[in-house]
Amino acid sequence: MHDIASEAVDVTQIEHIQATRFLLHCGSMSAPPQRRWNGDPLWGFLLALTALAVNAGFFVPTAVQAALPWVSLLLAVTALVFVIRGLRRALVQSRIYRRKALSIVLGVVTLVLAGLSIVAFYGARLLPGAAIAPQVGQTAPDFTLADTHGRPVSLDSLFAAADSSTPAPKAVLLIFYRGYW
Amino acid sequence: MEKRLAEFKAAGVVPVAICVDAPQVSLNLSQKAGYTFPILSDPDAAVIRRYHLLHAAGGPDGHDIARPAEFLVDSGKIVRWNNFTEDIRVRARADEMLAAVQRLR
Repeated sequence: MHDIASEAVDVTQIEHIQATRFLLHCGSMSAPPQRRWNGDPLWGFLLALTALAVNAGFFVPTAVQAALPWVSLLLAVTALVFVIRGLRRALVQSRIYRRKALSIVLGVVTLVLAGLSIVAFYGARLLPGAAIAPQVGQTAPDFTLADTHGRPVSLDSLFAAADSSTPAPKAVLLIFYRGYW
Repeated sequence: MEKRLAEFKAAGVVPVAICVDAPQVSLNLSQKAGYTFPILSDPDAAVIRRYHLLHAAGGPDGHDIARPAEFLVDSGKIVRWNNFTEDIRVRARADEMLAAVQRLR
């Protein structure tokens, strides 16, 4: 037998169930998923540090020294790639990546460090060419210049024997350097 | 370079450095670093120009200096080997220079 009173109770029960279901649904959405670690600024920072550290290799006379500038440049450029991606993740995707402030600080520091290596690379190469300097087979120009005690020294005199007991030099090695030590 | 000086001497090579620094400046450097090879002073870069190595305004305060270069010159004053670095951080190694001397024989 279906009377109005029992119908009203049924409706109330349905609403109660629906209300409970809704609250449970809201409750499960209140805790967001854990944000991911943004590793790029750290990798970029380490790469930029290594790029700078490579400069220490110039004090070690090795055969690979000529490659060091390129190694440093490559490391610095790679650092930039990482830091740009890291900063983008920190600034634009901070809902996905955590530690936004640290990432930004590390990113900016890395930009400066990588920049130093890149500036050093191009600065060290700001040299005039030597195409018209004496080439192999050409004659070395004469000169007479003062030594550290003010005595004049000519190119000819350098080929003279130091004394009667030592033989005359076979060759002279001229080392032109920048100066201003 | 000073460390390898005995090897250069044994190979019959006299190393000589040249730059725009005044003799006193080079003397200080030489004494501090313990160099025994001659360092010659080219204050107005006249010889540097003669060798076409001028780096105009390349020094501090815009002074003219030399771009780095090495020449191995035989007793006939002919250049037998040279080296012009593209990066001031990369120095010529004594090994390279000694190898060039060996080829003189």
